[in-house]
Amino acid sequence: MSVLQIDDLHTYFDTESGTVRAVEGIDLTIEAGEIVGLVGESGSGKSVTASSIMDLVQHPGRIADGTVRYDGQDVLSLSEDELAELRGGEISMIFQDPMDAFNPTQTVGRQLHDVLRSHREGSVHPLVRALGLDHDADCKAAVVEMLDAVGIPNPEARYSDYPHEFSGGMIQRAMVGMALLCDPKLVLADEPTTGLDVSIERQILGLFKDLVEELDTAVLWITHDLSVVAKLCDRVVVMYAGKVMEVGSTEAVLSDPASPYTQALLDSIPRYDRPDEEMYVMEGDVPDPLNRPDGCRFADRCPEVHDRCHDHHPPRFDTGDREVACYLAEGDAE
Amino acid sequence: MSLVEAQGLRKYFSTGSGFVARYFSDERVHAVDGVDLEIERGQTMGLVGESGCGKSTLGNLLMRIHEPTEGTVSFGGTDITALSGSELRPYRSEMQMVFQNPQNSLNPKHSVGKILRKAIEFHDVAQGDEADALARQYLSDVGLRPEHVERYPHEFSGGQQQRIAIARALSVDPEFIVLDEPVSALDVSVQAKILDLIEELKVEYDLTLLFITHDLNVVRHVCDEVSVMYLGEIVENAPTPELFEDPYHPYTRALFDSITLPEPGELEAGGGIKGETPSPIDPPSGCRFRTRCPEAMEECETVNPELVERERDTTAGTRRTACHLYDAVDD
Repeated sequence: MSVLQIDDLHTYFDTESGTVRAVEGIDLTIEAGEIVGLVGESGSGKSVTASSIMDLVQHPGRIADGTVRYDGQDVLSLSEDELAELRGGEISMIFQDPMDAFNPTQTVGRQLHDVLRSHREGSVHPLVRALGLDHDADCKAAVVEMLDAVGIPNPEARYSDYPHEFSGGMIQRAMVGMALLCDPKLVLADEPTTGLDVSIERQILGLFKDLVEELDTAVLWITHDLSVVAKLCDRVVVMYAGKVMEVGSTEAVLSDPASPYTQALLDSIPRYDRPDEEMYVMEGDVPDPLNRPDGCRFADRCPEVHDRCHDHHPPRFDTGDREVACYLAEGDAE
Repeated sequence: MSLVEAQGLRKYFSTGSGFVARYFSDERVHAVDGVDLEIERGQTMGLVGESGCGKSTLGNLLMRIHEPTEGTVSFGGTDITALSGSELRPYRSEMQMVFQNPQNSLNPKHSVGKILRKAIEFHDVAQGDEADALARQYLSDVGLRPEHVERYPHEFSGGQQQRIAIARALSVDPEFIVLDEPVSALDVSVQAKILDLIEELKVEYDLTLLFITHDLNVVRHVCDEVSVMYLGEIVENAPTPELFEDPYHPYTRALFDSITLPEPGELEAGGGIKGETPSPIDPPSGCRFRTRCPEAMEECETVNPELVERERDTTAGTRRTACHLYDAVDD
């Protein structure tokens, strides 16, 4: 059974100007121990997809259609209590800005301790927690061990440091530690290395990959950066304007993209090893989310557009090593 | 001849904000610590380095947004660090800046037309209707429509807002523009467009550029020359093709090893730089990179290597490297 299975997910936002269809029919599965990259530019719906998985879509957003199954159970029909049990426990999240995710008034160690404690023995009375009486030596030892595992030097001492006393790289390591603390089956990581320097990003990617392999954790890694996907993910899902354009093994999709959008995205990235190649400049802009075309979402910018592309958004054709939402792949479909 | 020249430039910030910290504490952040830099007229100089290396502070010093703790900046032969506020004003329109986040640098309460007109009128490039016509012209130069003068910044996408910021910088007819991470916040498809636009405008308006970025892939495509900064110092400076062909400084080499490309594969073990940048409050003695350098020698602990010419290859342009590894080669 897949750890995560999303079928035909639609998430809409009802705004004054109309309904924004942020996510329009996403299908996605993640198997145990698999790292899946969800790639797209701003407005592609990748972050909304992640919030939908945890049923965290805020008003005026709503999940209009589709199902999200975690380990076989329908997440969208769970009660708040059941969801709370799941979040941070079996499913955890890593965010782009750890400074926003940590409470600045509590030590990092304490915050990790609380996460572990609350998922370990059911709930603790809020008063007990407020008075700090729930402190547990076992939990502290586990937290120190985790801080050590994510490469924080001198973890015993850093346990009592506040978030602002950590550097950007170190606090992101702590965040990774917090996400893995309860031995989750699934980690949702939303652009966790985007604000970091390349050398630090590299360290964190290496560390993260080793840890999840060891723990056999499934990961959905959301990013706009194809070079991160290339080094980290087993499979990749390319999104554009709320739709999946191409899904397949990272190897297949990045070495030989079948969707013109994936190709255009790759060609827009400047590369130091190809100084004489002009960067590809995609024509036009991402379609207005209030007024998306009826046909293929990418048709207006596509260098290989045909008449029929304007009529319907293409279905996904299975060509063996991947699925491609493009009529060009129709002939190769199995 | 060089248009912009910095000599012995230093900027120290006091760490506390209070009176006591400012006047009685010795603790200083050595943000820029002894930088010599020359930017030739018509060139694009890339300034690269990781967060906290002082690259943005250096950009601000060249604009005299920050007052230097020590050292001078000359622009077209005039020492602008010695000028008073009113004397400086004519130079302000010659030097412009574009920042990373246009949302923060464009006034949300003003229409785009007003944002541009204010710059044009303040620097006395034109007034009234003429300023208005110029604003429209610059908007179309950056790929927007002249009638967009009526709109407000929030009505534009991130890429379009960056175009507006570029139009504002251009509108006062500058010679020199500092671009501080101008495309870092943009999606790749938008980034390619803005880089294209910058190249185009540079030629059209005969500009000299300082391009501050952490992205070496971008540097390879837009810069003629590159300066690499580490902990407040420039450690290497070379023409772009030569630097990428054969980086001398171990820090430059390590930075290049950290570049990731969108090619499937494993992260090579051992690639990249170990550890984190030391604190700029109390930088290491001798060479600042020695604590992370795989080739550190005894000498590196005591003597900070100078940024001097190490011209090993006569066909290559002039390049300078601050590293003891090359001392012997020059002797």
